[in-house]
Amino acid sequence: MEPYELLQDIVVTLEDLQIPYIVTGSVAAMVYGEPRLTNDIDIVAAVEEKHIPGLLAAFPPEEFYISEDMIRDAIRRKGQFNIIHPASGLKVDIIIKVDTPFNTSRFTRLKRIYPSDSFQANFAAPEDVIIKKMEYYREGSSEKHLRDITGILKVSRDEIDYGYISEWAERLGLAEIWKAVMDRIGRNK
Amino acid sequence: MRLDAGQIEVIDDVMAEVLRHKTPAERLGIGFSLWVSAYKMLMTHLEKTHPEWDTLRLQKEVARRLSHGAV
Repeated sequence: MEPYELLQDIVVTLEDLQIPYIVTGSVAAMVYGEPRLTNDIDIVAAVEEKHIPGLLAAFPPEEFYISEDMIRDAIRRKGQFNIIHPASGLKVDIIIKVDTPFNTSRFTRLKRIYPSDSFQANFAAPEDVIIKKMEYYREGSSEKHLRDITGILKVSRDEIDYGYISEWAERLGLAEIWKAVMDRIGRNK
Repeated sequence: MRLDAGQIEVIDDVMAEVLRHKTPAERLGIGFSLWVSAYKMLMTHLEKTHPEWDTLRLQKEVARRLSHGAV
């Protein structure tokens, strides 16, 4: 199994089950910015109890590790669960969608993109990928998030809604990070 | 939380221009190809280092390393 195959498998499953979702994280960052090695596919999805049988059926235990208990726990706690392909080490992290103003905004703004010729998927918009990565950087200080952010800004450049990011950076307490990033790429001059 | 210039890496202008001219699918394809290349390189390395390992054990070790120990 390779990353494309796993991405397609999860996207097709979510759409078949009519689960609202967006691809985010490093995979989305690559779509808008700079490619890099990654082992994880991050997806925010509105998974409910009624979807559990379909998810388990789509990822059989002979090939995948997916825990019904973990899914139920994730739904209850509004946390996350994994779908792991042990033979390759590839992993999907499903983050349960929480009803927040930011989530409402980014699900509304999602982009329908062809990751390959054979299928389409819902991706978080580049601005929302940036905002979320600033949050992750604040929480964990992994510099890869900053590199992903600057990659999107340099590659997608004029397609980015800078005002939208500034507004949410203020609302979410990320203004310091946003200013530092803008200073670094020379857009505050 | 570091926010100095040394912490915030920026892609080279020339490379940014190259990537800007690629489609989203092409950019994603490059990233996924990096994973495939890493997998192949690890497999080749382990096959040479541990000729006594069977395919299943080799695959498990590659998966373990690529997943940073998650599997």
